[in-house]
Amino acid sequence: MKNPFAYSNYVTGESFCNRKKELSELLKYIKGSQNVLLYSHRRYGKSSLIRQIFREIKEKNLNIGTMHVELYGTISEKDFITRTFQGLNQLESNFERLLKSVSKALKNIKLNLSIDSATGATSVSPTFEAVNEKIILEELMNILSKYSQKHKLVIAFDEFQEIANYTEDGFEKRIRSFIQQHSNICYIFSGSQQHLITEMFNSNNRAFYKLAESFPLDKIEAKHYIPWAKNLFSRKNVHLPTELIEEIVARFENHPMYIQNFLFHLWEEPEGKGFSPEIINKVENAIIEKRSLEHTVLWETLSINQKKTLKLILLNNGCNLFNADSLKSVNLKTGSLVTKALSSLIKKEIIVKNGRYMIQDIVFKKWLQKTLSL
Amino acid sequence: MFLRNGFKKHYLYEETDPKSDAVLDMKKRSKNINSKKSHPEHDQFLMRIGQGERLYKFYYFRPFAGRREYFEYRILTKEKANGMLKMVSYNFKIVSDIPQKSSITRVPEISKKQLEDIVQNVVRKTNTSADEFEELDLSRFSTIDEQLEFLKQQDRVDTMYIM
Repeated sequence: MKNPFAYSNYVTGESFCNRKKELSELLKYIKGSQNVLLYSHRRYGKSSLIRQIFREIKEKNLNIGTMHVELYGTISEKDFITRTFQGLNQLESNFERLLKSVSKALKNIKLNLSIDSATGATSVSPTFEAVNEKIILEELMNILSKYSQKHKLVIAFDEFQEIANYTEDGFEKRIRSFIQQHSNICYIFSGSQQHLITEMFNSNNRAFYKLAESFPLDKIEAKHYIPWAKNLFSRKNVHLPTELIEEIVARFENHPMYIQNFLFHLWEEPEGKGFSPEIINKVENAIIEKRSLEHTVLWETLSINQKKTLKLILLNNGCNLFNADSLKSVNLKTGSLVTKALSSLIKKEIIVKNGRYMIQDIVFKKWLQKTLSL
Repeated sequence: MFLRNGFKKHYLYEETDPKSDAVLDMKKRSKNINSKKSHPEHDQFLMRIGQGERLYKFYYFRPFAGRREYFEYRILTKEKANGMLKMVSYNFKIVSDIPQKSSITRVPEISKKQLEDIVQNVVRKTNTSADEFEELDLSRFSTIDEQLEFLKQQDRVDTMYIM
């Protein structure tokens, strides 16, 4: 029987846990062509939520075109254009029709054809020789506009905060000017670097100011995990006690990705043993052990003050980091050293601040607790 | 994984052959590299090689225990024009015949001594045996082209992606 849990790719269908409220709300925005700013910390399931809503749109035959554009790793307007072009094949499953309609819409641009040999997926991208990127962007946005005249579209730009680092002048303003004209398209701007993306949309001196409705994505409540996990385990006639699910959810702080990860490994445990606390510890330790190389490397690359600061966060549960006793407990002499280390650790996306300082990766946190014997 | 028109010289793409020993997820650029931190998980180019830069050392950890799928932890380094190194490390595994990278860590500037210390500490702290560890020293080659040629000869890079 196929393991229904997944943690390294998008999670949709039966593997997708609840989020009914979020899905229903998101669908309202999509139907109304209202733009959405979807944000949360990393691995809370933003991309999976997008994929799930796209799946539901198709299953319900809502006649809304869907397009998911991954902007991770893009560093320029050119990258943005290429990724968006590559996403066009999601709007048109017939490649010949796609090529025809795209070629027809382009006045100045030649196209490259790409085939992913692993998946067989085909896509088009523009050649940038001799044509200004501004013109290519304009023609690309015109293609989207034309598609949206036939039927509604929803276009999700994932990790949208990347565009804030593009060096081209006025890119944000240019893209806004197109988006504003697309009355039949819902744009979902998704991002995990909360401070960056919310600043883009909430500062009145930025081009995207008030361009989208805020949609913060929280963790999933334990009460939603219980029936979902029970149901999936029942398929192989394994009864998962409620208390056990609550224990797993608590250990992994309601975090969707880590709970999927844990349940994936629990599923692989031999049946008939029952799920004693020892099994839970065994699975947890195996998960920690599997990632010990990357965590050791990460730890070794940190400065001594960053290491001490991480220890400080763990010892104080992310609060009261600057009081004298706390500093003394990890042998840090001044608060300014902590401030500097916190800033570096946030930049490295090792910690986040949400009322208190927290280590983002729960498995790394558990590895630290084990390694530092805390 | 990618078949593209309009290839440019010296562009290296992701290795896609799961049976091959190593991967060189790098892109050589003729212009200056952009210092912006790209998002790791989805950046197909782990490291961009600028003018005056060359590869330094690659390290491979292949732990025997607790793995069903093929797994390596890789540390790749390049030497920058100023003599300092840039390091990138990541998990590489093959799941259902599909190569996957994850948990990418980048260190933008590190000395050779610091790198040696990190690697030694990791080997020691993770009880990595000699059989589970490989160091590939590319620093004996003076140019990036010689390094690439060597990697090609060693079947460490899929030549179909080089033009």
